[in-house]
Amino acid sequence: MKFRYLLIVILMIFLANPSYARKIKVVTSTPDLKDMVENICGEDVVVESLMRGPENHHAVPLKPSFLVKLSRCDALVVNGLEYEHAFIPGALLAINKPNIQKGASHYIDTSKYIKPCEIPSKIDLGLGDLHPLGGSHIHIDPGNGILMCKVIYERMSGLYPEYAEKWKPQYENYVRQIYAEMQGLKEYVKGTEGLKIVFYHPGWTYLTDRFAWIKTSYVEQRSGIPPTPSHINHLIKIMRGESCTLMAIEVCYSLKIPKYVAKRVGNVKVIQIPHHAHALPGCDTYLTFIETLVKLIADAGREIMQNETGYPVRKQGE
Amino acid sequence: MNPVARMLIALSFIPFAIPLYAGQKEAPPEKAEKEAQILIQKTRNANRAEAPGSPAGIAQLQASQSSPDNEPEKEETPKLDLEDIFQELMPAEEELPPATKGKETEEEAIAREVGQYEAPKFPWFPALLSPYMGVMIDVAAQFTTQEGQYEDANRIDMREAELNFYSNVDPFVRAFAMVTGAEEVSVEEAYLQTSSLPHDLQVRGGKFFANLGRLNKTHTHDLPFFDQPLAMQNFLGNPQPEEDQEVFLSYDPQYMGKGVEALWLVPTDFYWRLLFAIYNEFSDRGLGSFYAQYLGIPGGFRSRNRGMNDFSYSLGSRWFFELGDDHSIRVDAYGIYDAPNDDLRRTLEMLALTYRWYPLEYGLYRGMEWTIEIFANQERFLETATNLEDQNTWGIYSYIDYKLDNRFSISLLGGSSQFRFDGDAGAWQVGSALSYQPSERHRIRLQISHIDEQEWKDSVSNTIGLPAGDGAFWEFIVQWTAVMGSHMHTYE
Repeated sequence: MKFRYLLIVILMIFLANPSYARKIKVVTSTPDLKDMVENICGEDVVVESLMRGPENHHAVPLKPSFLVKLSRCDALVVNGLEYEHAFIPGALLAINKPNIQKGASHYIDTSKYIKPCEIPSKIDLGLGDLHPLGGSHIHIDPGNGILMCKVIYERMSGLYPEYAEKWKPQYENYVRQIYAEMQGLKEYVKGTEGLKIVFYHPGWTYLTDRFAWIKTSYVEQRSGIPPTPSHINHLIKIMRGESCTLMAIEVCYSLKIPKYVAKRVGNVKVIQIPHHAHALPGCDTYLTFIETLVKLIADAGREIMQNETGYPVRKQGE
Repeated sequence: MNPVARMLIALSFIPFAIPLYAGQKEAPPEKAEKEAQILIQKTRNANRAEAPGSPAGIAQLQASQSSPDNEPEKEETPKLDLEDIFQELMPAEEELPPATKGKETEEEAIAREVGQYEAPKFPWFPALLSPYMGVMIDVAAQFTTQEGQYEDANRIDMREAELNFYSNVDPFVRAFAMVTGAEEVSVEEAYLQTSSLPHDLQVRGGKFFANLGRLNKTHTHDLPFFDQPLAMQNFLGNPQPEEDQEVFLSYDPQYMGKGVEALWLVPTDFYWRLLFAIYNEFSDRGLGSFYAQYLGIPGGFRSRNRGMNDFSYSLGSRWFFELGDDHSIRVDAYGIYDAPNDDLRRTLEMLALTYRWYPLEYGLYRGMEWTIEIFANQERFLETATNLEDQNTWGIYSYIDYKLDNRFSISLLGGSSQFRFDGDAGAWQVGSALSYQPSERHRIRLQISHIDEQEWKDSVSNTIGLPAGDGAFWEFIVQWTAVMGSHMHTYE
């Protein structure tokens, strides 16, 4: 008799506890998208990211564990514009999951509202392993981040309409947070407008356009092709000609060539920047990633300008 | 205790089991909204001047200009409207890719709801309906210290050109085809593979590199060295008699199965895949085969009117374990039963272990893979017209492929194997290769190998009278490989 009561109690606890209700399983390609989905959909989703923060998206190894995650998920969220070419298409080819295949109902491409930058005028692999649809690193601009959130909310609430009302305030607040962060950072970078920067891998125009900086060139003169001696020589000439004195190198790339170039050009500052959430300590959310990224560049730019002019370039509020 | 009291006690557990009652007094959305408002307010107060050009900035600029003393207003700014944010950030409609223009049609909405494909992103580009296509070209220069019968091994050749196609046929099936050749053209792979069976089940049928062992599915040009290890050629490949019979022994170096494979992803948290396969035949014993030349066509072997016993059956399992972010282990175990008749049955077991180190931060520059695979073969041969001989043979190989930086990698290979047809004849090999990759699609490789005395070839020579092997030799290879177009690989 006692055992029967115990069973009833346990059963009632399980039935009453909403945490045992089935959660929506979402797989994202990047940790930034994971953070966005978690902020928008909150406790109703379990999110896993295939890529880790420090990884280079061109060199993500296709692990069998990806196939398990993708086979078990309800929705797949990607950057889009072929950003995940190294690991998503091959993984999708190996699994039975028609509804998360590219273009299918539960495949959420967050680049839908993005105006692509750096679209190649000619598709020719002789010019490098191009991003044929334009720069795919869309998440590095908080403005794009907001538009990515819009896609996530629209598609997720379309797929799960029963949650739409619940997610709406979370989504709106998150968008407001990103917007406020962006406005704050615009103020923070004031005084560094026109700062000339060399990055390693193409696709950074989204960021430089947002914060009124100038993307001078890339260490990879041909996208995806390790720089050859002639490419390096060409970059040195460009930097000298443009008087560019800042190299912002994504943490997933070696500093060997940038340091050599900096030495040859002379008086060049080389900094490492995060390219994703979790890429550096302290960047454990999309917002902190954007903040760290922009402030690292702005601070370096300020230091350079101060050295060049001899006058301190004050931060906003100092 | 009376039943009512028991029920009350039971019900009292429920509130404690609900997280919302377990101490979180403020609903997360409200809390987040307040935090956002505070952040926005702080930002606004700290920075009254907005970025020029934005709607909000223009509005603030106008407000500040209209104020006589140009002092910022002290009243609280209105709550930021999402419409304003999107108006500021959204590109004009004509700047967006075509598929995102306009509103979703009713048909598109229905297609989305029922899980069908949406309209293609580039509907004006009909070629996208064509299969993905790619071409691989493999050029090799081989020089050996062999003399005599094998001296023509010193040559520069286009070893192989490979034309591959793949595409979804419909929502249920994908198709793959690969045509290869150098002097002669052949269909190396052509198969259909299901894409929407339930319970993570996949079936493929046709002609393909079978899921057997660690490297059998890997195309030759994707190996970390020039060709398949000796042990793998011996147990998975099929020896080919040369037409002019001047030299011996050439191999189809890996097993191309004709049959059906069923693959099932076991519902576990880690990767575990099971395989069951049926192939027409694992060992080529047909007319004109090396087997037929070496031993004669076995009695009872049939290529027509086959019974179930005349097929080959395979079982396999693959596990993959992640040991942290940078390290992983893969285990492959396979067994195949090949019995055209009981007198000539053959079984082969394979066990492979692969350790992989792939650092998160520097995966582009560093990495290492170490693999070891063991083959155990049990086979009954027709020694003479009436005598049967049981023979157990085995082989092993191991390699390390180490990435030196984003262009260079070095690999070391060693292996030893007994000859499948003659356990008394063994051979071993060692080799090393240095690969240089100017880009992802282009590789140049230098390899040096030492192949032990050709006991295999001597064995064949003693049996069927072909020229004997020429003893141990060194081999120097320059390989130049490039890929054009689409060339996608799944995990292998």
